[in-house]
Amino acid sequence: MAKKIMHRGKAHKERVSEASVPIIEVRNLKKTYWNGNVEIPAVRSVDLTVEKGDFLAIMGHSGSGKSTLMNLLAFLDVPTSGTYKFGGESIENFDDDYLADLRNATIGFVFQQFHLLPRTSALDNVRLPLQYAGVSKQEQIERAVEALKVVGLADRMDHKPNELSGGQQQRVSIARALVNNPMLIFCDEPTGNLDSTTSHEIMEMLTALHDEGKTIIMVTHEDDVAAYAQKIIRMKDGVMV
Amino acid sequence: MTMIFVYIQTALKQLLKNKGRSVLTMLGIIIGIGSVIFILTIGQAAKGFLLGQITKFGTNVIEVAPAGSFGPFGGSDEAQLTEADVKAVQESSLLPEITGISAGDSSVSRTLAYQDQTVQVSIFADRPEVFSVNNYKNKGGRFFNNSDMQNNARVIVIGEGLAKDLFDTTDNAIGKEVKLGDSLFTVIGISEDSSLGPNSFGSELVYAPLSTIRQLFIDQDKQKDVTFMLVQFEQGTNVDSFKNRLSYVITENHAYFKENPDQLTVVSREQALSIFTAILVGIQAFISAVAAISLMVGGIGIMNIMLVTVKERTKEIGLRKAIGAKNASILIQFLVESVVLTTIGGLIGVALGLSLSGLAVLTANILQPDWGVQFVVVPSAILLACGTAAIVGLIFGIYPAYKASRLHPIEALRYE
Repeated sequence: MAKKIMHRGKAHKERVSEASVPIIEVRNLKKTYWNGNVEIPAVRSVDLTVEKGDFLAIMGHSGSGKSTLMNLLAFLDVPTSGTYKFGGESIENFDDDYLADLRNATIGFVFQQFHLLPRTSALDNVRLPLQYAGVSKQEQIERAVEALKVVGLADRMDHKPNELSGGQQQRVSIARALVNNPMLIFCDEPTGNLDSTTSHEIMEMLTALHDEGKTIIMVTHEDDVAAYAQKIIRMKDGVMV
Repeated sequence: MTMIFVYIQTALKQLLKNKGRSVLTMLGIIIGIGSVIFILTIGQAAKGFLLGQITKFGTNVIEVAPAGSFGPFGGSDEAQLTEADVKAVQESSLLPEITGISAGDSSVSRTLAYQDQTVQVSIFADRPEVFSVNNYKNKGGRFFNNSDMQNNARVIVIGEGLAKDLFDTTDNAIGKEVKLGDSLFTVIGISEDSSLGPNSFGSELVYAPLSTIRQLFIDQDKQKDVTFMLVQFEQGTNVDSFKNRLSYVITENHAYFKENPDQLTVVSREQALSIFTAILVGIQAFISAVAAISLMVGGIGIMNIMLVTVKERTKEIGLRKAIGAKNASILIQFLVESVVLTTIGGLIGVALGLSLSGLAVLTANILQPDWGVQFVVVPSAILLACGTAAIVGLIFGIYPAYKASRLHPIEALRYE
C-alpha cells in the first residue's frame, strides 16, 4: 500500500488550532505590484492582530488595498515584505503547494460572485474542497450534506446553480466554506450581488456562525454590512487608518 | 489511485456538457485511427487470403520464366525457354527432388463456342502433370493423360465456373462437343477454378494437351517454345539450394541464358508471397503516414479546443486553486480531460475502421464467394491505435494544461 502523502495544511492546522495565541499576527506587511517599471504599492504597511472568534470587517474604497490585504491574509498571495504568523507559526517563504494545502485545511471562502461551478449540483459544489483534502467520497457527501443543512438547503442539494436564487447560491457557497471546518472564513463583498432583504439574511447567517465561534474576516465597502461585524478596520491608500 | 477516477469522472462530465464540440474535436482522431485500423485489418485479410491460396496450390513449386515475360514489352526472341530446357531439367541428375514439371504454351487464345454461346478463352496447353503440380482438384469427369498426349486427342478440361456458365451444371458438361477456334473438342473434365494460376485474371482458362494444341494452333517455328515452366519438388527440400541448381542446369543447357543470366528468373512461390507482403507493408506504411498527419492535425485541434476550454473555465480554475487545488491537480485535471477526449475518439475510430473493413470483407465475399476471404481482427493494432490516440491527447494536452496550472488564483478569480 502506498503511504498516504501528508497534507501539510492539515498538519499545520493540527499544530496551531489549540494554541492560545492570536490566529493572525502580521507586522509591517507590504505588497507592491509592478506595472512595467512603475511601482504600485497596494499595501504599504499593515500591523494587524486577529484573535480566535473575531468578526472583523475590512472597509475601504476601491483601490484602498483592502482586497490585497485579504488576499495576503488568506494565503492567496505572498507579501513583498513583512511577517505573517498564522496561529503563532510564521508562514513566509512557503511554496505554492504548501499555501494551497493551507487554504484547503484552514480557510473557507465566500465570494461576491459566488464562484459556484456551473451545471454542477449544490452537493457537488459543496464537497469540492474535500476532494482536494483526500477525504473519501462517502465522507465528502456526508459532510457536504451536513454543511447544506446548516445553511438550510438540505432539500436543494441536487439543484444546479442556475436553478437557485442569488441568496440560495450564496448560501451554497457558505456551505462550501464551512465543509472543511476551517479556522477562518473570508468573505469578499458577500452581499455585493444581493438585494437588501437577501443581504440581511446572509449577514444573519454569518452572525450566527460567528456566535458559534467561527472567526470571520469580511471585506466590504457598505457601512450597514460592516455593522454586523464586531471590529472594523478601514484601509486607505494601502494603510490602516 | 481513486483520485485518478475522480479526474476521469470530472473529465467525462465536462465533455458531456459540450457534446457537439467534443465530437467535432474528436473528428481528426476518429478519421486517423479509423483509417489505420481499416488498412491494417484489410491488409491482414488480404495476406491471409493470399497465404491460403499459395498453400492451397502448393508452396513447393518454382516458376521459371525469361525476364521481362511478365512485362508489357515481352522478352527478346532469344530469351525463350524451349523443350530442350524442360528435357534438361527433367533428366538432370542434379535435381533428384523433382516430383513434376508443368511446362507448355499459354500463348494461344481462341473463341470457344457451344451451340449459340461463345466465349473468349486462353488455352493452357500443357503436360498432364499440370493438374498435380498446381494441385487442381477434379470436379467431374477426368483430366487428360499421357495417352491423350500421344494421340493428340482433341479433349479439353474447363474450369467449374465456365462449365456452369455454358452447360448449367458440371455433370452436363462432360462429353459435350465444343468448337475451339475451327476445331471440335470434347469436354472430358472439370477442374476447380484457379484464382492464382497464370493468366487467371481476366479471360477464362481451358486446359488442353500440349501436343494437340501445337499440332492445331502453333506456328511451325514455335513448336519447341515453352512459355511457362513450373517445377514441383519434394516437401522438405532446401529451396535456395534447389533454385540454384535449377538455374545452373538451365544456364548450362541454354547458351543465351548462360551469357545473360539476368534474363532468367527463377522464383519460388514463397518468394512471390514475400514480394507481395513487402508491397502490402509499403501500402500500409503509406496509409499510416497519412493517418499520422491526420492525427497530428487532430491533435492540434485538440490543443486548440483545450486552450479555449482553459480560457472559458479560468474562474473555475481560480476557484479550485483558492479552495486548495495545487498546480499539479489542475495540470492533471486538464491533461486527463484531453486524454479522455482523444481516447474516446480513438475507440470510435477503431469501431469505424473495423466496421468499414468488415463491410469490405463482406463485399468481397459476396462478389467472390469462392475466395473465402476471412475477416481478421488484429488485437495489437487496436491496442496500438488506442495507445496512439491517448498519447496524442497527452502531447497536445500538455501545453493547455500547463497554462491552466500556472494561472494565479486571484487573477483567475477576477477574470472576466
